[in-house]
Amino acid sequence: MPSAFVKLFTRSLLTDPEQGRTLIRLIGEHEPSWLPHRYGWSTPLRNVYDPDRFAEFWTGLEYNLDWRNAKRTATGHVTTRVGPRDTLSSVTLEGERNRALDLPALARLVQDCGPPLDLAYGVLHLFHPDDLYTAGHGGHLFGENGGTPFLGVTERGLKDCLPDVAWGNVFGPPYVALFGGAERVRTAPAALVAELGPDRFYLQLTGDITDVTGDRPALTAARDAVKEHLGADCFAGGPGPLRAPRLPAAAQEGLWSPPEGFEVPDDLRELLDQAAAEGKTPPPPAGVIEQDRRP
Amino acid sequence: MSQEFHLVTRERPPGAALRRALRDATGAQAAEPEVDGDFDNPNAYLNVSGPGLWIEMEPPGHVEAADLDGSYGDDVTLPEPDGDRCLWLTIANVPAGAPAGSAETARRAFEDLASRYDGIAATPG
Repeated sequence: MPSAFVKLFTRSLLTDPEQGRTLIRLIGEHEPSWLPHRYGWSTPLRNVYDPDRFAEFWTGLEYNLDWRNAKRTATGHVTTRVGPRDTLSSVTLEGERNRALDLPALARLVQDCGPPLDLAYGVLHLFHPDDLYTAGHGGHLFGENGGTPFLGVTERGLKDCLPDVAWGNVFGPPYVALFGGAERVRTAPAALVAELGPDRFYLQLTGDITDVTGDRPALTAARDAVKEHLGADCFAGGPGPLRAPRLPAAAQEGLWSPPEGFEVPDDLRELLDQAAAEGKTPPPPAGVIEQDRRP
Repeated sequence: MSQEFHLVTRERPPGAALRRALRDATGAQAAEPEVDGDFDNPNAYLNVSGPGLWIEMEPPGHVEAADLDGSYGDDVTLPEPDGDRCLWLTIANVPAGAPAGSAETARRAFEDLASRYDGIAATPG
């Protein structure tokens, strides 16, 4: 059962294989037991990962890209923002806590991914039932599916607010602006505030990630203090109205074209018109919507 | 509601065998089904269509046998894995809007192929 979770969000499409190479290189440097062994877009995974054929691996992103490690103890999932209303692509990594897992290295992995993946937001956390939002636990980070926890931090949810402060957090330019600027983030009462680049920070609540499970009072106190400092109305459960960055959707940025035969709703039409007015050239239509495929 | 059928074999079934099994399953009077897509690409989709027929297929993929454990009923015995501890998995998905008879064609074609290639045809879950 996975218990260590990383999720990274970026405005990048992530289709550039160089970004993929960087991600996999960083996983190899910091958490080699999490390197891909098998990959595909449906399970069971149909392809054996071969670093010498990296482009084949990364072009799996034409759909969604899933992988798992050799020991079946860790998985990776990449979702690129191909939908018209999508604002962020994401990378999810999760794994079991075992002897091969280097917990401190996860924090370094998350930080090192910040600049090359142009992270807007990132979370690193261990599972704890108090962080479940199901069954009345009152948390905001995790859901459960058949008893297996999953990190419930979604692109869609981020349009409303951040879920919570995780143990490790990357805040990129949209969030630094939301919080009131770099100085506000720099002075957050966290155990570690590292500046990863212009308007991009890594915040860590305590000195040891195992505090998530082993010292909940320390974690909660640090979390509450950081939330208060950054703006409680940016986080789920905070005083309304909640705030979130308004990021442009793929259609608005000229990254999406309607499939032929698709009836474009008015709100999407507005975004497409906006992209056209700004001189953005959308990609060719990805396909054709067949109204009735019955022979 | 869509229906899914799996074919699990030790050897990789060839594309010609799939076409023949589909043709046989549709009946002698039916026109030969059209199979669009790259059968040799395990990450592709095959679109199988014909009069009264619509099946989406995932071509054979070389998957680890352990990944199939528990995928089927207790009465289903998987073939012996190959030297790589893998088996070939082919998936037929009959979309919810497919013409009646499509599911039966998929099931019969996979049972035919299972008997020819020492495999099993099964419904996941």
